[in-house]
Amino acid sequence: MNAEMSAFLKLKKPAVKALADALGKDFAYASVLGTDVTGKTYSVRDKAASAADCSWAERGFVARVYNDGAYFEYSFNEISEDAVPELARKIKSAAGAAAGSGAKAVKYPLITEEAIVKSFLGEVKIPPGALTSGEKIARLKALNAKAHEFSDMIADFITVATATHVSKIFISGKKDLEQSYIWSEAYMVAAVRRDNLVKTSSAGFSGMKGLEILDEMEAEIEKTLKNATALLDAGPMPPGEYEVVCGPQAVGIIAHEAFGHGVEMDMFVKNRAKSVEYLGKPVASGIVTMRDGAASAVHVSSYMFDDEGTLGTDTVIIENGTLKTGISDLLSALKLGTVPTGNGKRESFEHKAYSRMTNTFFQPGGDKLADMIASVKHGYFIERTASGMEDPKDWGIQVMFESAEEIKDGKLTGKIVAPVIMTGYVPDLLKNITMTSDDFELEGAGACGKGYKEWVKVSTGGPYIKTKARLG
Amino acid sequence: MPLNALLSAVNEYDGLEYRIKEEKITRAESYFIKQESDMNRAADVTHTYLTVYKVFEENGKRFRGSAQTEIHPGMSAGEIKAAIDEALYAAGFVRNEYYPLAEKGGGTAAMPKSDIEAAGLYGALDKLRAALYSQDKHEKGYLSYSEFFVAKKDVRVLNSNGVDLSYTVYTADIETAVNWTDGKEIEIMTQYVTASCDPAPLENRIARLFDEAAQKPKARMTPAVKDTNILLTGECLKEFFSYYYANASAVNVYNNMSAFKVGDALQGDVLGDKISIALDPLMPGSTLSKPCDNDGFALEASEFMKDGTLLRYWGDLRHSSYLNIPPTGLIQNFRVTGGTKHIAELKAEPYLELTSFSGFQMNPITGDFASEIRLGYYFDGKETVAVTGGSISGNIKNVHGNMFMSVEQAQYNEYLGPQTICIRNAAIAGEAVS
Repeated sequence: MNAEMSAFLKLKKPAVKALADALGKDFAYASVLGTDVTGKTYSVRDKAASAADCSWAERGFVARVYNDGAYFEYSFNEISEDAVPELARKIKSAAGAAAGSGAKAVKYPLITEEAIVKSFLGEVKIPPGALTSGEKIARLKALNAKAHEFSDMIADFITVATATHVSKIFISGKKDLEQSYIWSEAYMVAAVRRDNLVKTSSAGFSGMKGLEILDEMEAEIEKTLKNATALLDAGPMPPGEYEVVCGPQAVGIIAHEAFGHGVEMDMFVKNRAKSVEYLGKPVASGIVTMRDGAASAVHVSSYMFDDEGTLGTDTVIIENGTLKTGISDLLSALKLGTVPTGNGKRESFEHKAYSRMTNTFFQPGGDKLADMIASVKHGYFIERTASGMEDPKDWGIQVMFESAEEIKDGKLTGKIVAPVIMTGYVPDLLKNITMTSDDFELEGAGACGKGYKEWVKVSTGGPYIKTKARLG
Repeated sequence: MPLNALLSAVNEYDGLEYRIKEEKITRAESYFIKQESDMNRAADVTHTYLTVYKVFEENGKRFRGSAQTEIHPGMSAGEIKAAIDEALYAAGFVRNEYYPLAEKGGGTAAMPKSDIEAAGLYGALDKLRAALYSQDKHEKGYLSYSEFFVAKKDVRVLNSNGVDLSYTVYTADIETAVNWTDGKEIEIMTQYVTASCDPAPLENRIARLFDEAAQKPKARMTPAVKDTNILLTGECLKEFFSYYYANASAVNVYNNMSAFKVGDALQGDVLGDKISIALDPLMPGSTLSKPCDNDGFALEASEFMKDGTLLRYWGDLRHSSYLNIPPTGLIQNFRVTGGTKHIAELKAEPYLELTSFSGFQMNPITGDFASEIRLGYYFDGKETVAVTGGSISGNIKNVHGNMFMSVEQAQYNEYLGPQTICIRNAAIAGEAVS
């Protein structure tokens, strides 16, 4: 079923067009992005439940104008056709006030656009409206009850499900773009307790999906509980360098943190990325190919146009081990003289657009997971991630994993260590990749920050890989 | 105005219990590449959040359901009614134990004065920008970028019991990075969040950032020390001490996620310093200071941990009611005290001091902590060298019985506490020590 375009944005579109026209009279370039993102998050745990707007919900506008060689933006969330002249005057005045600091400005070229009128309506199997809020809460309660059938060690079992309906319009002198699509995400967190020791394990579910995501959760309950229970007896990770086999979720976060952030091209403009020195050079094993793009996959960060009105693309970042190119927002591309890749994303209409990842992944290879594990003399099998942090200038990597399982003489021993932190130098990690499986999974639950803020939706993934890494 | 329209709408419902939080935000933003302005932005937005409640009984037991939604500016009366109806319907399925709502009281304490008010948003932004770039004066390094966000937020909290409280928060948020080349090129970044435009603390922070950046290119691989004192310095301590804050919260106790018990000696048999932690809703300099929480409950300072012993749980009205304890309200600022040693004393013996991390992380439930090391200093008893790379990992339960805290304090927005702590029993992954 196709998503429906926001009635609010349809209603406000004439006013948005009038504002873009009014601003176009005073400024050489003017555009307005309108957003209406709706969605509900339902959560059920042992002793509590909640229902609320999802954290991605937003409704508002951002105007961008070209003012004396620089771009100025104004975010607002109230517009009507009557009030357009006053709003345009306010934006002009704010642009003047902001430019009054006396600081020397970076000069940008004027945005030149081709005329495009285009719309996109995404499709999901079961739309969020197919169940009432009461039915959705009941589904989550049933999952909670099912978990308690599996274990009597549960301290708490949390299920969270969110369906997000994104609608956006982009209006400028030459562009008239509309898109509407739905993505969903869900989590379960199993907390188990023995005496005063509490351990947690989580699982995420996501995709350009509707309520079908609820069906996926049930199958993971037992495994998530087993993982949490195993953590009660987990030993510490003996620090050292090991052969590791990483699952798609772990591979995704490595791709994201190791190279994704480092090829966001606004980092090139600020001289914050080491990768700019390696364009056209080998940075990974010859069996590694990495892509990113709104059009590279159908997942939570797939869209027709980005938050600057650039159409989404499919970018090959690393091809057979060689760094080919980066991903960029519109203004960075203008500054660098490159073609924007449709990666200009905002946390919301209240935020600036930066170069951001969309769906980022390593391409699958031809190996079998069983052969990869069998080839390890002494190492670890890593599947569940906790978090990661980028270091695009120094190419350091930090990825936290929930746990790892020991591999000895080609066999999983069942010995669990936790928590696990992978650190090291990105090219070393990527050049040590010797096997990639023929599996492929993308995962997009959670959010990606840039530095300390600017949370956006991304997906990451790939096949299983075998490499060598420092674990602690 | 959405608030007036919303109040008219909720008054149409007979006996509707509700809570409203309105935030009017004006913000000035400025982005720089080196010292040149890259972009300016401004925002002028209003957010109005509505929570509706439904009380119901099942098998003689009372429950309170709730659902929250945002009422956007420009919504028609029909859209507002539909949003309320939808939330009310959902609230009927949210089956939580009954709890009371905030009652109309005698007002709240005054917010700490922020100098941003007098300076104005652009004036404060200019002051902070001047302070930041006053430190950008080195031959081998420079600030590669900076981002400034200065905002005024007028908050109003109302509920159906007649609560109607207002306060204003001023915030400044700065992100920047030093690029330094000395043989090799490195970067160290930082975020500085404050409720003030006082230039001095920012100048100090940026001066320290340049000092650290100057050390990093010369740094050698972190040694995998085993029986050496480990000093943790800086903002990582906010995350470190959040373990006690999280486990003392009524919400985690109620949900069976925390095993803390009032009266417990949380640090066990203590060979080092005993920790005391107090909540301070009106901490000067913190952007999270406020006189009341989102329920409209008036906040007051409260100590929950004294000399290593849990004095009480802290919590909002709902979860405090569940545990049958007096509520503190939701307070996000906390002060940590109890340090007995000066930093110089902590550095008298060989140590590995870690000052900069990729992202120091503490699992607030399990007490596991870990991070990659971006910069530290290793003192072997004779000389001090800068170190980088590798990682630290451990569990707070294995270190807090024999931990010392500095007398010297530092503030990182909502955290005010020791500037440095000294721990043992944490694992360092790095270069083998011969």
